[in-house]
Amino acid sequence: MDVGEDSSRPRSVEVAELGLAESRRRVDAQVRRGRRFSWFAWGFLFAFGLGEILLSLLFLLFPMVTTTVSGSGTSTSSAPPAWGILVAFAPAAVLLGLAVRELVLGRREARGGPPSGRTTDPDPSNAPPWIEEIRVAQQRLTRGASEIEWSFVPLVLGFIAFAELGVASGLASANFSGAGLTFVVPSVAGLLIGIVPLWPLYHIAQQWIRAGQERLELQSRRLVQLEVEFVWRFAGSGSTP
Amino acid sequence: MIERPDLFVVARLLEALVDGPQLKTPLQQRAGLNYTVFQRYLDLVVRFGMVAPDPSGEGRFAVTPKGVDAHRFLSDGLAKIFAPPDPSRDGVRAGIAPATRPGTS
Repeated sequence: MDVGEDSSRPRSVEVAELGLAESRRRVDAQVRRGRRFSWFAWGFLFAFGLGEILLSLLFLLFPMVTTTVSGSGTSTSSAPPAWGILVAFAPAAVLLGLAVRELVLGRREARGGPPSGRTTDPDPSNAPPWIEEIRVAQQRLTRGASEIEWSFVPLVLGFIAFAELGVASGLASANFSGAGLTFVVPSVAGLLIGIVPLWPLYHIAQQWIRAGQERLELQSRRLVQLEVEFVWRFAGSGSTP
Repeated sequence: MIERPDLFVVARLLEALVDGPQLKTPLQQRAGLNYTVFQRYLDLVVRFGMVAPDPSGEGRFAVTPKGVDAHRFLSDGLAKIFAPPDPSRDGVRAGIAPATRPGTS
């Protein structure tokens, strides 16, 4: 959209065209970030699963055996090496961090921060009418919102599994035993510990989604108002062009 | 027949004429429209009385006083709707900020 070619033109339409281009860029940025967030979220679950497999292998190959001598006798316990835990879960932690980053940046952009990335503006002579463009943008945002919401499934699963693993390991290292402690406590604690930290992230995602959709809805509503008023004032009250 | 006129196209067409009468081809180029769309919208603005053939002849088109009003109405209205959001202000979560009026930016 070349709006700077003639400096004698009034600036208002240029402002509107620049704003339309920015709106287009925002939609593109939101869809792109939503997709990246989804990739990172599923990647987190995948990396977490691989981490667990790796940890099991390390446990079999390099067990750290601890012998405890007490009054009742000698007991031995084995655990995977501490460095193994770091190696196994570092990729999942990095992917989780990247997913959270996308969420936070996405919300900032949707609330008015400068949109990231570039968008190729369509050739004005072939650009779709605004009503079509906004309709398509709304559809893209709705699909993107669904993608963002579904991305919480792998995050929740990964968090729960991680919390369960942590609680179970904690109980084992403290030498607790019994079916209740082995199965029930880690599961319940895992659910609670896994879901609670995700709630603020889900809240951020909702703010991100809503901000983009509300902006488009407002623009669409105001454009329809402007169109009606334009037709009423300049094209005669009864005749739609 | 255009069912719903694209306000950006109408505004661009009128804007291309506010500086003075134009022949069809330069007008089409300044409005940035392909020929089919240009012809449809030219018919539309002529029918609405916003643009008329220039009395001097020579196949030029000129904007009428009604067209000047329509151009101002559209350019102000569109600028208000699409002005880039100002992140420093509260209440711009929806991305709609006050219009940047000519001469104030």
